[in-house]
Amino acid sequence: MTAALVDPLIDPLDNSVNERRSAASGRGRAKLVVGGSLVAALVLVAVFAGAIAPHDPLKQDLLHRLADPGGAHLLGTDALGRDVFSRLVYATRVDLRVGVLCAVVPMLVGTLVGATAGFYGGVADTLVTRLIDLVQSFPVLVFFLALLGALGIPQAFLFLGPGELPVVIVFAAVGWIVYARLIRGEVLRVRELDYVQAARAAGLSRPRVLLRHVLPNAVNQTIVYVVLDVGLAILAMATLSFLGLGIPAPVPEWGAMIAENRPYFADQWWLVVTPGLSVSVLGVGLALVGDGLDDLLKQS
Amino acid sequence: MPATGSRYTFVWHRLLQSVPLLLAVTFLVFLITKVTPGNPARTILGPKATSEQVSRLSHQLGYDRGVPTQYWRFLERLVHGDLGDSARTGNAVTSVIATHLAPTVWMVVASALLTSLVAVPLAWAAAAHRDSWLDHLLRTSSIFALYLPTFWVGLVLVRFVALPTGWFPVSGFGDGVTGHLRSVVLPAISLSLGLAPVVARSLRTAMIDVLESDYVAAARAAGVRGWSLFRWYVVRNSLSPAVSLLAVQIGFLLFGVVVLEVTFDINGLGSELVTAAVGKDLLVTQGITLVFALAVVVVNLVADLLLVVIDPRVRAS
Amino acid sequence: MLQTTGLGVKGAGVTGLEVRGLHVRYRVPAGLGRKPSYVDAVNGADLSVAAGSSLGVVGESGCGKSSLARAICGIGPITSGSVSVGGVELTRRRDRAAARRVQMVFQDPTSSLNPRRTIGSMLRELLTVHGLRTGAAVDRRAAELLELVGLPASALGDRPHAFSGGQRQRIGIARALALEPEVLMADEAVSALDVSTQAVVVDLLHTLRAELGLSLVFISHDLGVVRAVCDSVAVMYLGTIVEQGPTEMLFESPRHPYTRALLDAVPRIDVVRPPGSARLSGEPPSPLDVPTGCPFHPRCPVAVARCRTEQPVPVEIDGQTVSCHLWPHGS
Ligand SMILES: Nc1ncnc2c1ncn2[C@@H]1O[C@H](COP(=O)(O)OP(=O)(O)OP(=O)(O)O)[C@@H](O)[C@H]1O
Ligand SMILES: [Mg+2]
Repeated sequence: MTAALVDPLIDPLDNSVNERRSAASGRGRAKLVVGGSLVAALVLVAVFAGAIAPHDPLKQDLLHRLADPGGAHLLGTDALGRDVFSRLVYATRVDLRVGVLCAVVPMLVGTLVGATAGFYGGVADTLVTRLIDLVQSFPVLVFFLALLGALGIPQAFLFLGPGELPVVIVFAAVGWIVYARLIRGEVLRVRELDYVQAARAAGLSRPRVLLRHVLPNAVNQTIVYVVLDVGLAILAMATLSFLGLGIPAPVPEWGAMIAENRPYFADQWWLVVTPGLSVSVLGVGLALVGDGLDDLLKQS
Repeated sequence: MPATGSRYTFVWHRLLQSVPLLLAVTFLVFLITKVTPGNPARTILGPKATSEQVSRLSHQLGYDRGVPTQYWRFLERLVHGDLGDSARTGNAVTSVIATHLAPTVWMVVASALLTSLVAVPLAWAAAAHRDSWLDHLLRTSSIFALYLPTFWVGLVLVRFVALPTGWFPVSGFGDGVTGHLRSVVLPAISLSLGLAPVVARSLRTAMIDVLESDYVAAARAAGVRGWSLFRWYVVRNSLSPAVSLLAVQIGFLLFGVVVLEVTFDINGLGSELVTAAVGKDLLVTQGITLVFALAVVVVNLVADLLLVVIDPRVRAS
Repeated sequence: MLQTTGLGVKGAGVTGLEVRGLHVRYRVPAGLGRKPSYVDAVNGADLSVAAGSSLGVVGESGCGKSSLARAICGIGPITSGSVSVGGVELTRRRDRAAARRVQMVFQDPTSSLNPRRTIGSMLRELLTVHGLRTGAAVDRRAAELLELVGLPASALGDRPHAFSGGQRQRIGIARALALEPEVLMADEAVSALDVSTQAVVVDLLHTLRAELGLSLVFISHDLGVVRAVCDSVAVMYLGTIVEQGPTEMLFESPRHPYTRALLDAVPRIDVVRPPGSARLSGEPPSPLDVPTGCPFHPRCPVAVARCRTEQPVPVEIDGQTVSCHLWPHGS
């Protein structure tokens, strides 16, 4: 259809789109507020864990094993007499830290590779495409599990606690491919747009065109995805820790806590229910933020 | 070209495409023994082995040679059906796999069936009533469901359903067909609770595409309405997306099965894999991972071939 | 005015844009069971546009107008042939100084401006990267450029979405002018605008061309606009320039049957259609499968056997160049 035919339609069409847009942006904002407060609250808990937790999360007290909630122990104690509430609080710190690293490190690597591949094309592009095909027909999480087993659980590393480094390495080793695909597709789309052609026709250098004109317009989806991915990484890490392959005992971590409290589940159900709820609440918060961002970014 | 001829070419093409994929997949699985710190032969044989035994195995597996040789040896042993022996029990990895396969197959089939049984009608309903409360609920729940820890859902079901009612076993695989069936109900529910909304949401989108397509419009214009329109045009044409969606999710589903086998103490490949991984039983870890990886490749292949049967248009393109 | 814009004044007749034997060929990648094939989007085009004058390029959709424009601008492939400006050849890979000499105004006002950059930052980037201005002069020049296209300097702080289609097209022109080019390509630069805005933007291009001594290549499917603003016209069909000449001559006495058909397709009340001239019928053949001989022969009302086998060579008649067997050499 020629543009001239569409012209008279643009005005009414635009209005209806605007109506829908403003509704979407209203909903987007509501999701951002609710999800953002959930996430912000948990981030505060992680940052001020020391001030919030009433007890040392590692301190055992075998005389007060499996104490019921109330009194000095808000959520009671576990089989080793450790304060469950304090462990939950400190676990927030571990889970958030590892979750963020497991999403952000692959995002950075993937963005770099995907943008270069998409923009410059050639061998790198072919390779990335093949790798994406491979990851799509491979049970990635089962592979993570096997790799973590083979790697073993080494000591703490720099600011990372025990077991955190292998988890981040394994997630980054595969996760970047997903980001590379996302960015590559967007770069392929954006690089054909007229303003990028104009920048090229103006003789701007290729890195400058990529960094200043293509990338800023290609990252929307990635931003949404990385927010959702932090939650998914936490979920995956908690699952692996539950299986005994992520964060080792006695570090407080939600999945590992479920595993260690599992034998006492029948009588002290809260020992298992609370860490699982924490994972879900953080995940839902992040999902709301991501979905809200999606609504907002789509309308701009 | 006759239809059978082009179908034949398609199958050949698709089979040929799987060859490089298989090489890549086996290479990844091969890497599992490579990432372990220290001498993998020592890890494989366990602490009781003498240093002669270790160096003999090192030589046999090619660890004294370059990576390509090692990978080649791995492939050679693979085609001879030799996956090595367990460091823990000394049993052949192939026999470990054979003895633990059945419960896993039960779990996978039950979960896939339940997921489809929930997802497909849900997607139909949401697509038929777009922007209804159901549609919105599906959208929201598909996001939240992603963040439910499957193993935790499983434990909660055990504690609050299986224990008080006694309808389902708390753990184990049961005896006989009914026993097996009863044992896989709760794991299947746990898994499809997370998976079904996600599958349903993508399926809904695919179905809306069908509903808005030209031939549905043509059928409407020809007076086909209501249920018959739905049955003949939409249901038929949404089968292919359903099959490919399930195929895409198969990796996720398999991991769920692994986790749930541990959660419900079902002694299948999954729980065996976790035990091996935790105990650094490298060859068992590698062997079972290979089974899962091959399963994904085969499911994708079968799904693609199935699509040709369901949908003649795939052949044409 | 000319002094303040900093562009050299060029008299008419000085070499502006010269295109010789330009070929653009795209590879269409192989699909499942399909061999790779080629599209010859531009098939040996010869053009020349003197500094300060304008050339219109017309032709049906898909005949290769954009491919020609993109090749000249250095953003599309050049398979063979040459593009020179002011007597200097420009290859596809251009350094900054070479790239500056040809600039383009794009068709789609929504996609031709980076939505994340303010107009000011976009213009400043171009001016500083090319070292055209430094320090405070950069901002002054940016404001001046907007003024040149009839927009207030206050627009510098806004992003593209704040502007209407016509305004965006002016900004696109300002962007092109920022680099002080010698050749300005306008590829369907007004087709996306409503009729009244079209007239204003066409007027602007026309004035700027004269004031700044630019060679203007104006691509359009609107013959009326081309007739109003262009000194000469080239008619393209399936990648080939079939006829070229001074505007008035070409409109008054079209020689190629395709040009005649195009002109007939424009409804005119002042002209009685001459007997024997046919309206253009059918779609142009696919550029993947260009007919042998004269590319126009399958749709040509006066084609003879020779047209099917032998490709006509361009012949010059009274300053008009035409590629058709109807006009043999020396006639
Ligand atoms: N990048 C490309 N790869 C392959 N073929 C292309 C490419 N760009 C254009 N073509 C083909 O080359 C031919 C000429 O395209 P071009 O865009 O130059 O035509 P046009 O005259 O500008 O058409 P329009 O009036 O629709 O803008 C068309 O058949 C088109 O399909
Ligand atoms: Mg064009």
